[in-house]
Amino acid sequence: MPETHPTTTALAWRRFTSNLPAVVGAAFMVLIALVLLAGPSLLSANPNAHSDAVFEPPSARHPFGTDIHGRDLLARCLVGARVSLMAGLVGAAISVVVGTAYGMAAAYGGGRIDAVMMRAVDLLYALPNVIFVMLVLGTAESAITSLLRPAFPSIADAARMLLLFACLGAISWLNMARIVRGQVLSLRSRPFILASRQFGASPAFILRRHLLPNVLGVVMAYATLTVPAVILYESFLSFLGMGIRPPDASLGTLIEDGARQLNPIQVRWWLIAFPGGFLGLTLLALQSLGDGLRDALDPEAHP
Amino acid sequence: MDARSILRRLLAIPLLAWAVASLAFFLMRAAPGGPFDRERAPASKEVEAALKARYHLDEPLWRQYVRFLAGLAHADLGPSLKYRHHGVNDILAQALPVSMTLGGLAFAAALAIGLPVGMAGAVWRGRWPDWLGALLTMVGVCIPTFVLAPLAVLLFALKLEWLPVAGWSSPTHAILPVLVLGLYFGARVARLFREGLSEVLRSPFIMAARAKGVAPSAILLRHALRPALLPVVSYAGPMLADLLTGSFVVERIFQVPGTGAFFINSFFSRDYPLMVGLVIVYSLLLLVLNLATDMAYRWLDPRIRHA
Repeated sequence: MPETHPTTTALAWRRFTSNLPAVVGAAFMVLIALVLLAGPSLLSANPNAHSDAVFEPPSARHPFGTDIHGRDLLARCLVGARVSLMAGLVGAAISVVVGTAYGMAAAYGGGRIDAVMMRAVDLLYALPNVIFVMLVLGTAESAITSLLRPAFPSIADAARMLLLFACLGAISWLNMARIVRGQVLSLRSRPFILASRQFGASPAFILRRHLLPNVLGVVMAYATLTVPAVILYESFLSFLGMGIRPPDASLGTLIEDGARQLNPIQVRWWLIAFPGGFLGLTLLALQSLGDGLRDALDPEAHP
Repeated sequence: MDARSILRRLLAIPLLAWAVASLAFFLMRAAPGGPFDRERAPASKEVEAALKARYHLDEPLWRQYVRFLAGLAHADLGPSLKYRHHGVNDILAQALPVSMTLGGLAFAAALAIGLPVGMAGAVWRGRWPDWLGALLTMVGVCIPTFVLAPLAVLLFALKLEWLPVAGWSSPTHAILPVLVLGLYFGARVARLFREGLSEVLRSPFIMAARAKGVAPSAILLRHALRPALLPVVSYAGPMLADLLTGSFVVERIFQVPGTGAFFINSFFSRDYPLMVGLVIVYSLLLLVLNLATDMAYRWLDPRIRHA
């Protein structure tokens, strides 16, 4: 009877499925994704419809209560969570593409190229990234207002949101570049790469065929951890009034709205507790999922 | 780390800070609008022109830059364009100590919370203190400060009325902001320390010490602690820089008169000198603390020191 050895993928899968928090996190995220895809259209409440029922505490009609304009908070949370998750996915995707390409180029280039490229990363680390986002958004926003808004008012908001997502990606690729560089540096002098080079393979071929598949697992794992980081960053910017603009909402703007209603006369806890809880649970699930993936795909790594 | 490489890193700090400051200088001016635009400071055309002339904003960019560098050489960051009777130096001299006090206290709180929780998790790994700690730290990691802070205000200031809602006039005002910031960073410290310590406790030299009959407390304190602190130290540098320059969110929610508000307002009001001054302070702190982190790292880990 032939002895069967589990493949690397099978081993990684086994490590992942034996990690309870990771599996629960993954299940939760699937559930959230389904709810967000179907939810807002199933709800009877319109997230932007004003009503006279302002600041109603949670009830059967409004499970999460209502806000200052009498809007249904559950509907707004679902719409906001959609924007937040979209920001996380788009931002993480950008950081993966840019960070992987940059890290691989630096490590494979080696020597002086590597030194210059990594010093540039250090320089960007020393620049407060809130300022970077503010500057880019500020500059582009006036361009959008002057060029796009008169002609296509409906696209202008979407364009601004997309720009915000791109900025979020642009500030999160630095870590990815460092991780990928470290991986490629350790792979670069392995025998199979040396052999390939000996056979006359071009650098482009080696990067694509040998190095890229070997770093993909690690990249995947850290990309999953980038999603909650970007979501957090987006909510942070929106909370400070620099991210998503009304009437659009993200979980960050909803929490900000709630924080503004803090006063000693009347405690309206639901305005913070529900969007905050929603954000916290999503981040918790994504973090557990990402930790599990990292342990499964990059078992030698230590945080 | 030998003396020469420390010296080289030290010399690179002013250069890097200069590069960051220049980047901020030009990026700020590339942003549309100016500090004396109609929408920001309503005034007649003549007044606007006079103000621009007074602050040399009508000069070509390169002359403004030379002026800025000349000021820097005298450690003068120039006048604020929004708060017109104050220099940037004065504003920083007032706001920075507040942010640094809050940040320093929060740093201490983060270590005071994070290290014991992390140690308990590593020592009793897989038993109930570990589970409890893991749950608490996961919650601490995943609930951002801008959710935690309003909830803390709701509970402790509005509902129970134990602590003041906001402000910065007495030591009791510091309790909530310090705890909120400390909890957030403390949770991260706990995770790193638990990971680092359980890794060390599994290593052969600890097993050898155990076999030799060294008391468990001596193993923990004398042998395991130092190497286990490595991941915490590498996180602590950037964390301290973040904390000292002011947490925008916590300062805003608790109305702490630190640098956080100036960071955001100076951008919106296009207060070029104030913004650039803040960027310089922030990047200097970050660079110095990064160097300190690396030096601490080498001191803690003899393998790097002698490599």
